[in-house]
Amino acid sequence: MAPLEPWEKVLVDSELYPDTVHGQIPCVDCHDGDSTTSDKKVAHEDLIANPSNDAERTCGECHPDVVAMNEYNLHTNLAGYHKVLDARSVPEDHETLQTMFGNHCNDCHSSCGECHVSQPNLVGGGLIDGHLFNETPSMTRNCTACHGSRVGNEFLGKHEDLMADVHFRQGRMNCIDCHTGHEMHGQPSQCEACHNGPEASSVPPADHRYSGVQTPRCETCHVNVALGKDGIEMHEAHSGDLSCQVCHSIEYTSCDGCHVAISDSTGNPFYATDGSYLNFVIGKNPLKSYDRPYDYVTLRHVPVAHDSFAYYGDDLLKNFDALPTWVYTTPHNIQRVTPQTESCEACHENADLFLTADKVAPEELAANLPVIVERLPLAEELITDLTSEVPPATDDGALSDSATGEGSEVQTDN
Amino acid sequence: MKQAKNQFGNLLLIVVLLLTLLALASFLAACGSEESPGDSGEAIAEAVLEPTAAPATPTDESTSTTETVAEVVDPAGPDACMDCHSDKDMLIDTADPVEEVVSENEGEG
Repeated sequence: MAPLEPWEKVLVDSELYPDTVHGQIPCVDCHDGDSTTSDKKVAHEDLIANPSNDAERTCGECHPDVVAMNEYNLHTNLAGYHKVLDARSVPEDHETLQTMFGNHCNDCHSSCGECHVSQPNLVGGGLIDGHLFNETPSMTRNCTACHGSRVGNEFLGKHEDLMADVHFRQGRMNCIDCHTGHEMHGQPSQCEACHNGPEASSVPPADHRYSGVQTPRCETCHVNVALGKDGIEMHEAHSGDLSCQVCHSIEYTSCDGCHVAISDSTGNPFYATDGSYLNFVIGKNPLKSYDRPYDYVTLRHVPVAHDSFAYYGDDLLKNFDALPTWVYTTPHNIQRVTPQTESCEACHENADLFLTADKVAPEELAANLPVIVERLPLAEELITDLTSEVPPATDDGALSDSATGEGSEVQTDN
Repeated sequence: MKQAKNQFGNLLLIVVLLLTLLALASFLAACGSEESPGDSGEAIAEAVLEPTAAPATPTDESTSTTETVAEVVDPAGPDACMDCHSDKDMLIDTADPVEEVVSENEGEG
C-alpha cells in the first residue's frame, strides 16, 4: 500500500460527497474548527481531525445502536491486550504496564472513521475515497493495513512458495465476506441476548475472541461438512476433534521476543522482535468449549517474553506462566489440499507437526504445558478412526486407547 | 319651380353625405385614439427609468471586484471548508512541510 501524499489525505470529493447523507451535515458539526474563514490557521483552530474518536458525540447521533456496542468492540476497547497483560502480571504492576500500553499498544485502537472513511492512523491515515463513507471497509487499505504482517500476507499469498487462501485465490472473497459488521462492531457479553438455545446456558459469556459462538464459522458455508454428508472419510473421522485449520492450513507466521522501549535519540516509542518465521504447529486446544470442542488446534507463537517490558521495570510479568506463549490460532491460508490431507500417516505419528516439549523454549515450558502434545496419535488409530471397528491389540496385548475411550495418544520420546 | 326643387334636393343629399362622412371620420378618429394606460408615453418612460432589473451601472461594476474577493476570504456558511478541501492545487500550496519520521522499529509487529 503506497503512502498517500499530504493533499491526498484531505482531498474531499466535491462532486459526490455533498450529495451523500453525510455530506448534508456541516463539516464543523463533527470536526469543529471555523468554517467561516479560509484562513487556514484560523479555520483549523480546535479542529478535530478524527471525530469518531468521540463516537457517541458524532456517529452515535445517527447510529446509536452501533456505537452502543463499542464497549464490546475489540477494535475499540483492545480488550485482548488488557486481558493477557492482566493475566500475566500482578495488580501492583498494572499502572506501570498501563503506561507501557499507552506508549506502545494503544495505536492499534481503531475508531469508526478508521474503517469507514480513512486509512487507520497506524499506517498514516488519510481519506480513502474523498471523504465518502464506505459501509464496507477496503480490504487492503483498512483491514490488512493493520492486519497485514500475518493475516494479510497469508490470505493474499505474499509469502514465497505459499499459495494464497483458497477463499481469496478462487473465491475472490474479502475479509467482510466472513467477518461481518456484526462481528466487527462487537457483540453483547450476554449470549442470551441473541441465543436462547442450550449454548447460551451451558457456557459462560465469551471472554476471549475464541470463546463463545464461533464467528465466523467454516460450517456456515460448508454445511455438508457439518452434517457429515460430503462423503469424505476424514471429515467423518475428525470433524469433532480437529479444528478445520489442523488439516486445511499451511505454514503461517509466528514471532519471538518482542521488546519495547523509548528511543534515547528521538524520544519515540519503538519495538524490536527477535524474529518472525513460518511454521505449522498442532497442539492441544487450550480453549475447549461447547463451540470449540476440538482436541487439537493450530498454534502460533506470540512474541511475548519474560522481559518484554523490562524498559519499564524489572519482572513486570510475574505471572508469565499463566498463559501459553503458543496460542490458539486460525491461520488465513486455507487450502483444500495440504500436506496433512495427503494421507493418514501425514499426521499420525508425524512428530514434525505437533508441539512437543522439545520444541518449546525451556523458560516457556511451564506456560505451555496446557498445549503441549505429550503423546502423538498412533498410526494404528487411524484404522479405528476410519472404520470404527474394534482395533487390534497393541504390542502389550491391551486394546488401543481409542477402543477404551481413553486418550488416544502415546508418549513421545521427548 | 321644378328645377329649383331638384337643386334643393341635391344640396340636401350633399349635406347628408358630408355629415355622414364627418361622422364616419369622427368615429374612426375616436377608434384610433384609444390606448392602454401602459402603452402611454409616460408609462414607457417610467419603464425605461425604473431600475426593475437593477442593471449594473459603471460604478457598481467598479466595486464588484472588491466584493468578490471579500466573499472568498470571509464567506458565510460551511463552504469555506469545501472550498479548500476540494481544491487539489490549493491543498498542495498550503500544505505544511512533512516531517519525515524514521521508524526505529525492528522486525515485524
